[in-house]
Amino acid sequence: MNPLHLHMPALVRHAGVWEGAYRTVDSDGVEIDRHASRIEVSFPDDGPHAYVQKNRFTWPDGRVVEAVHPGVYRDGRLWWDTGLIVGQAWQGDDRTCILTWERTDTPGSHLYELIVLAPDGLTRARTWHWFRNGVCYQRTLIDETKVS
Amino acid sequence: MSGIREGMPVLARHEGVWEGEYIHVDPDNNVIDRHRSHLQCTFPATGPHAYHQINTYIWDDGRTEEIHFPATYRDGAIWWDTERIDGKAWEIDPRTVCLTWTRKDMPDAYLYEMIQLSADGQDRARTWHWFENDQLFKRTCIKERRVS
Repeated sequence: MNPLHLHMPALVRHAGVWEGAYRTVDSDGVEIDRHASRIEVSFPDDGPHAYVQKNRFTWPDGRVVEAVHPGVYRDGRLWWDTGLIVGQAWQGDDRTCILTWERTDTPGSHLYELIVLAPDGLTRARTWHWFRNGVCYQRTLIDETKVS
Repeated sequence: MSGIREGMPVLARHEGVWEGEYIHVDPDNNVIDRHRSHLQCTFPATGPHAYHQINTYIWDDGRTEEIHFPATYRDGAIWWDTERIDGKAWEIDPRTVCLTWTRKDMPDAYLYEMIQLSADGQDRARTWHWFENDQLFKRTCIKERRVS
């Protein structure tokens, strides 16, 4: 059985397919990117990864970016080390999860994310804080609805 | 002696005066309000409140608003029960404080906030997530710099 069912039940409530929008704004609130998102979150019972997230981002000009973020469970947290992303997620209260990670293609920076999942499990609101040298220089605002 | 400084060492590093800007955006990231801010975070040595925050908001048209948020310390968290809000704040890692609260004038609403304090203690990034009937209807993006 996947250990996250026992140790991170608030995270397991995110299982499913989510569609929404990512908006990135600079520290003055100016929007610098917007794209649609489809994210599949699964918690495999077998194999090396307790968590697998598949992202598909699409822009109005037709660009598509896909990525897979497998994570492992250890010491009450979920950990990623995918080559591009090194980070961890843990539970806040019943509704929230917190993540922090670094991108290996952006040295000297780190991110934090707060996710608030609705009690009915059908919508979630997420915000990333992007830091460079300790100062938040942009945010990504994400709102999603569970589609399956 | 409440023990707040020992129990919440990350929050204790917020002590001081902060100036910055609040940008309020709707779920589609349209700016619906913005104003400057001046916040005092204090830890009174005596009296019933281990933490006292005074927020002053200043709009470009000359309007101002001052709000007091006295809180008590208990069980590793600070707790508010003021005329305006009911809620709590707790630490989630060495950089981060999370808050959740309800507003007494908005019975179906609740908010969640994530704050990161920079390692040098001079900058912090905060985002409020406003929910009504469990749906996000507003974010408040806040950048602040310590002035004393």
